[in-house]
Amino acid sequence: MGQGTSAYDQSELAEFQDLTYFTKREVLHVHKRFGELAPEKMKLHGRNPTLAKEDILALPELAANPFKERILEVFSDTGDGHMNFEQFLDMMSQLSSKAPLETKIDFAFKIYDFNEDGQICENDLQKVILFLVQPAVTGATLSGDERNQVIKNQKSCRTGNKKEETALSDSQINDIVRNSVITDDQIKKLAGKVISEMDMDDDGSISYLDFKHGMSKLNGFEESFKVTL
Amino acid sequence: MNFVKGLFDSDKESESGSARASRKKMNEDFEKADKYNNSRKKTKSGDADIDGVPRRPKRSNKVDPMECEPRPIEHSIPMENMDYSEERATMPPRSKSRAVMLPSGLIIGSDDDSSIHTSSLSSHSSDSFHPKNKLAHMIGLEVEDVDNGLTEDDRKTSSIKRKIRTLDGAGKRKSSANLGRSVSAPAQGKLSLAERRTLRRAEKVGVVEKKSLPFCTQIGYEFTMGVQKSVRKIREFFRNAQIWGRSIKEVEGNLGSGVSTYFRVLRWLLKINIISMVIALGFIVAPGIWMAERHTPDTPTLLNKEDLNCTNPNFVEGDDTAADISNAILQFLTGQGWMEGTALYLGWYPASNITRTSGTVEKTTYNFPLAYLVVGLLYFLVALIFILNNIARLFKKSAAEKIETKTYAELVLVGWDFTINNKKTAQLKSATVVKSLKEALSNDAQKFMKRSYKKEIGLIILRICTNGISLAAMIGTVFLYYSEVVQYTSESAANSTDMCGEKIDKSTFEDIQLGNFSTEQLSAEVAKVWSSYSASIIVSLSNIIFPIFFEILGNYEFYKFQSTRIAITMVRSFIMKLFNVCVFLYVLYQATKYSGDIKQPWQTDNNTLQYNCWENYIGAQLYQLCIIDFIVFCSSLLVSEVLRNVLINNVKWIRARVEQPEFNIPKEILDLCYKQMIFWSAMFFSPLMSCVAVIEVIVIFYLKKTSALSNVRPPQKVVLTSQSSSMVNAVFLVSLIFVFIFVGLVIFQFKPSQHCGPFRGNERIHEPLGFLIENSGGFKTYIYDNLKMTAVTISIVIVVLLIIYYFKSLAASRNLTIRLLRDQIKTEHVDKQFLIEHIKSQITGKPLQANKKGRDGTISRISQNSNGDLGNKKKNMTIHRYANPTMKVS
Repeated sequence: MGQGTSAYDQSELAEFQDLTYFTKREVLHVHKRFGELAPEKMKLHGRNPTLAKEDILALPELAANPFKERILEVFSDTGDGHMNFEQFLDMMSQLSSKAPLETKIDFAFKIYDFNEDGQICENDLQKVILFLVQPAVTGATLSGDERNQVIKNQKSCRTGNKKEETALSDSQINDIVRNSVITDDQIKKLAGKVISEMDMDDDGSISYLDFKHGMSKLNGFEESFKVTL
Repeated sequence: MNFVKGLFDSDKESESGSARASRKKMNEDFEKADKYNNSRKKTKSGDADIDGVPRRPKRSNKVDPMECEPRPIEHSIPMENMDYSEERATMPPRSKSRAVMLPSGLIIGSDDDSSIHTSSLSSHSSDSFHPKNKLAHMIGLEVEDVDNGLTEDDRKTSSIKRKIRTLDGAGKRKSSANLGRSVSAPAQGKLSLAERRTLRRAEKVGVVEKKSLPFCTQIGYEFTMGVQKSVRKIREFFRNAQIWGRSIKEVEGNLGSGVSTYFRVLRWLLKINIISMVIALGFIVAPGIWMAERHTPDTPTLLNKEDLNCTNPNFVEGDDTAADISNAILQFLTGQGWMEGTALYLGWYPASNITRTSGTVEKTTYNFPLAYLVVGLLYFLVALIFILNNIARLFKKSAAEKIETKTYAELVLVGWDFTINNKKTAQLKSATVVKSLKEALSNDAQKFMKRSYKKEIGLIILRICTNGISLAAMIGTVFLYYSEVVQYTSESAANSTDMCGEKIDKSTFEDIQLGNFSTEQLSAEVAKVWSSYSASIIVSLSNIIFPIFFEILGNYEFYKFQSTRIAITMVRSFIMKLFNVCVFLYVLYQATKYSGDIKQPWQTDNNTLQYNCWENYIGAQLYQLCIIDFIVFCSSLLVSEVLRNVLINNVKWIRARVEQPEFNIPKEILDLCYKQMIFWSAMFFSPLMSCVAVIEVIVIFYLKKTSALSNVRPPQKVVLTSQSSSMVNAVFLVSLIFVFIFVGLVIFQFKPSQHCGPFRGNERIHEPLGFLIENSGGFKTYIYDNLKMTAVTISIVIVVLLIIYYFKSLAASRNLTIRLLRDQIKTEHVDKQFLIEHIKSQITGKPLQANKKGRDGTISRISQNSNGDLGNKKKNMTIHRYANPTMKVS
């Protein structure tokens, strides 16, 4: 468990190369970036420490992304966004431009499926739209802390089995949304439209296969759904 | 039966908590049990289909449920120690509500996906070949307990495999959620990296044996895996060789992926140009220089450098260094004068072959004229391959379906650009998304809103006017250009003076130097300089002005959709650019056609120089155009982006009135296309032009990148998201074809200059090719002769058109099939629902209620068929499927 410039030896790197979409050099680069997130933890726990969600969110490539917490949740073993280097590498590999379309669609499905029932229903889509709108809304009205709260709130607003509800109530969120850019009514309408476009079997929600089929036909998904470190 | 009842009564909104808890506990137990077992299945994340180890259904110890796996790679839940109630109860609400246990002991889960994926993937799993299973698949239902079709071998599933499964199940991140997915979302259960590694190691050691596959299948798998691996390696190599990756990422992060398209196009152009450059340097320039050095000046084939300078008389000589330098610079910009005697142009190259004398016989080892000709055509071939490659890739994606566009899905599900890493850009992007979402909604509303007749007519008139204006503007430019350039050319032809363009009289120059010159002299000089540059200047300026003009025009046309407006502006600008280049080329064509036919053009009387080398003339004009265009590009960048931004940042008054410049993607890409068009047309006449192109593309990249990162804000409009990339390719393809026509005409129609260039002495430029073919045998000659005939060409064109038509109608019929099949999916879903309802009612004893969602027609049809007997019903449904008229179409 050396701590030098290359924490992994060649055979381990070769293994990573086989297991991810990265080359050896890229694996090292990812490791370097990972280490930069929390240098003191790196020192304490060697090459594969578990970083807290907040540490990883500090990554500039993710910082501006409204879905960032959701991405981490989907990818961490525990579901709370904490991850060690290997999980991080796995995540980055699937988000890289080298990952095949199918993997990306899988990933996107997991992100958009907020209540994790294997179907993207209208509620999920409304949430997706809310997330999309988020930066514009917060850019206009909210400070960073409030924004985090809003996000947390929205995340737990329907899952039920998740963490405890936080301070902001639903009406407050609605207010914020309405104040700024888009009305609830519009969001509902949009969610309905998306479902009607994507839903092949007319059952009112987007199943995984619907999603996979639909996404492979959409333009720009492959180009925009990637994070390069 | 009790559990089934309980199943249906359970809450639909959330999973039953206790069941989940027990489920979780069980997983933990398994984890403990298998703590020391490392064996795992090897999967590379994402490459799930490569997976070489398809699962077999395993036999459980206590109960006997053989599950039918929806997909081999699916990591099914551990079934040991578990009864159905457990399994069913933990299923997520959707699937749960429609899963039934039939009286015959079959469990039917009416999962929405299974109808599709079981049928498409059933061949992967061995058990699905069992008739019973197949039947179940056919009707789109999932059968969970089919065991009598399995061989004894299958039953003896190795303990390792079972443990792998157990581990898989336990290792899942959210067991409760994944349980649901094991039914509803087949590819959801991906292994984590650590798990994959364990598997990989295990496989190396040999814990996981691959024996379970038949030999041939295994060979097949290994072969495909090998092929895929090597393909990936090759791709990786090229990816690693990708230049500018960092820069593009930077732009992407700051301005979004839309803007990065522009830079990707630039990179793509760089690739094309670099390949052209390598070809040109390797096959033309290097041999040319080598030959030029070997030949002594008195060899008749070698040209005198001076002979080529049509500006000879005015070439400032020797003594005056200042005049010399300024002259040289001017000539460098125009590509005339001393430049004409260099390897830049076709005229410089020798007409001889590289030969090798063995004994007394001279053998041609390198036919230079032929090489030149072939390379000239190779440029186009390279570009064509690049473009077609792109188009094919796009086509693969979109050819299958063009029935409907998914505007909303695209906006919502692909709405966020994950590449953005700049907070401000993120805000802007989000605002853009909101804007376009609202726009889409209002577009939808407008679709059904009808304008009044008066307004409609007014609009039509308005649009006719605007189109007229834009056409008039284009024609006006062409006319201006024509009158300026052609007149000048004919004038000078009439005066039979030097027509090589820019002339600076030595005497005038000296006068200027000494300070004794009249205003008339000066204006005459200015006029002279103007006339030599006029062509390029007019073309370049109109390139700057017209897109802006069209943009403004588009604002007053009141198009319903933003995208229509952008598309129309883009098409207009493109036509204008095409016009410009075509007229430019046409004028060149006209000007040289005359000289090409002159029998004895080389009358070296000091004042009567004809186009001694018209190839050089064309090359010089195009070079000049390219240089001027570059200067105009730089200055417009400076003014419209840098200066504007500086002023906005520093002057309050301006900040209030002028917005930060926006990156106009279609306009910029068209600009690139225009530049590339000039490069393509110039490459044949000046082999070194490809080097110029490479340099220019690199410079443009860095200039644009720097300016974009500091001065420009991301585009606010929706930029033709759906068709943009195919449009870009189409634009490049059309321009390539136009340029090719020009070059082709020159090659086939013109008599090459008799005193310069590799083709001197030939009647037509294409002759070396003809000689080659004629010398190489009767059959080829026959083909060549026939190809030259018009009738043959026309019939070939007709055949090609017919083939295109055939494929088009094929595609149309496929689209129809797709539509019908899609309807069928919906109908079958209704069928399925009805069946479930029916069974439910039978089990629970409640009377069948009318399905709220169902299509009445379908239900009544099915209900007539069904008589309560499940077997019969299955048959009926199967028949129904095969008798469905939609199947006949395919």
